[in-house]
Amino acid sequence: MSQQQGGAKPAAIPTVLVANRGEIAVRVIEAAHRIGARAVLAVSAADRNSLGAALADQVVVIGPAQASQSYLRPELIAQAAIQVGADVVHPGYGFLSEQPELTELLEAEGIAFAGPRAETLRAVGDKSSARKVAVAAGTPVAVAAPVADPHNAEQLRSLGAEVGYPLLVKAVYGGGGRGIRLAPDAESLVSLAPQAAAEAIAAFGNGELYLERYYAAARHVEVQVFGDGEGNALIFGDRDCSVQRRHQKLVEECPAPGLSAERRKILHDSSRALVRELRYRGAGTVEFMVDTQSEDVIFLEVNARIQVEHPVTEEAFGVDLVAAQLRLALGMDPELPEVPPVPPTTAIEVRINAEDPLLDFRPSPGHINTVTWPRGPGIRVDTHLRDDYSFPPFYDSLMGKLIVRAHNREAAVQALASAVARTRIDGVKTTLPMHEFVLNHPDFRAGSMPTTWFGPVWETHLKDRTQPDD
Amino acid sequence: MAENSRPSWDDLVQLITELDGSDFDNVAVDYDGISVRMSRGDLPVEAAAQPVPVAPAAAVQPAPAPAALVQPEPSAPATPATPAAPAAPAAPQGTAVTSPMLGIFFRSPAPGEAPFVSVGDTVTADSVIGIIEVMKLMNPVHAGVAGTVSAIAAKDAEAVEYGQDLLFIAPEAS
Repeated sequence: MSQQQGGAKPAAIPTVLVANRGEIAVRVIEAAHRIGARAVLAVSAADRNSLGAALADQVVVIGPAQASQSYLRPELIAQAAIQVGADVVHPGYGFLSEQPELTELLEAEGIAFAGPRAETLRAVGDKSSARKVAVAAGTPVAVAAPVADPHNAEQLRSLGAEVGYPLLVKAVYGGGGRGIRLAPDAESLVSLAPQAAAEAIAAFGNGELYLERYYAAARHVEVQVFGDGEGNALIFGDRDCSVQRRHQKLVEECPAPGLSAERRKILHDSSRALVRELRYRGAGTVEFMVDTQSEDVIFLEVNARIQVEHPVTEEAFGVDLVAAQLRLALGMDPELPEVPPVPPTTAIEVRINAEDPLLDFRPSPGHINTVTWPRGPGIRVDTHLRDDYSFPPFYDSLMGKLIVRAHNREAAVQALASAVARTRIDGVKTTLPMHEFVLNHPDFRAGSMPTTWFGPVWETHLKDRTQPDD
Repeated sequence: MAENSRPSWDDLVQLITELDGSDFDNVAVDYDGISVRMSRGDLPVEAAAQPVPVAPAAAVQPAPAPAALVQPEPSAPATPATPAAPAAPAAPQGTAVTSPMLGIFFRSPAPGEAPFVSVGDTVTADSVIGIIEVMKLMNPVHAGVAGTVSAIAAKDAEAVEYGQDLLFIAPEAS
């Protein structure tokens, strides 16, 4: 269909190449259609018959099932973008979403990228450069105090008092969690430091140490930003993602519950400053640790992409962040409003994974016979599942996200617990039983638990289950 | 023509290869029951059918220069010279060599040079049969199987996807 209307806008229908798979591919295709664009999906051979492929206007098969030979190859995505005449490439999350190589290949071809500039991806891509940017923007970062002499007790005591207890003694050249010691007080610091230095020399060939504050019970709170690329930022509130297992988020909500106005202001203002410092373009997330035992707020990292949990922000504020990404990348007005720091509603999301929570979250891909989603006000389902779908074993285990919005947190938790109980995914094991447990737990109902909460609570729950028979 | 003069598949392949190297723009060769038409431009639709029963169904479309169509003739009605619907390429003979990735397929090492392989050529599993260009990176494609090139499925400089048929190889008889 062609439109004959004259006007300021170009007559051509823009083409969006979706360079991802799973639920986010479906999400981006829907957003492309919403802004009147054509959606082309780049798939691996394993995803030819995916829901995204059925919904897209065109599908191109870029490579075999293995992500390393398909979804993770920037040159294949760029080549596909050229071949289909794409105006913009949306990378989703994961895969190539934060790879500057893809951005640069596209830029050389005059194709837009629905994400930040390559220089931004580089600046926030590794911990030390991200920390530098955060410091420059005045964002609170973890104190890291270098130890001049591990045998000087006097020096250690004053350094320890400066950092605060408990603290971690870390080897400068350590890595991967090695060379880290926990010091709960000054006495243990004084006795630990010489040992740690000797071990660091033995293990890393260098005995240099530094001290870092340890937060035993911090929450994960993040701020949704949208930058215009010139330094101006829109802030779309915050999310709490503290229900985690081994650093994997399980449940997310907007707004973060139980944040004082002062703390919220620190988080939002710091995020705004980071956007300005980076001249950040498009949707991004600034992640923080928020301590539950002190007033400390610590910058963790910038995620320079749309995130898995973006729907809670969209639902709570009533915005479409993915459509805004596409519009901005196409040189259009992103059509996003200014919003208050706290949304008028609460939205909570559970990630439904193809994993067996009773068996150490073992992956459980396989054939899905039927899927039944709950219905009702405020319910949103972001998924690529459909009846009679073979969930492929090649990629991550995310099957979908169930999001419920209500007028306050209590109502949202209750509605989501009910929605989870009415969800049926027949054929494979899922994390739904775990979500029922979490949503009905008094700690979760109270809110504001730290990231260390879920692991031991779930272990205890499994032990308490009496399993006399199968 | 006598019944025993009907050409074999190999005869046809050889004929097409020879014509490919000639200067003809349009060629039509009629055998008893089989017609071969080749054109360096678009093949006229009329070239499609001359109905007489014949056994092996095969369509060959070598790419760069002469487009060739070996048209087996439908067995049933005898309505001569009816422009048949664009002949759906029947299952080509041999093993398909498919594209290992999305990109641009090139049949020759460089523009203007002879193709790596043509119909009738004998190849080994290691023979390079073409190149897939991805963002100016040239990725050689190997035959993967020994035999004789029986058909070319993808045109020179054509955009191809992963898994798309590039050409067919009739495996060695022995």
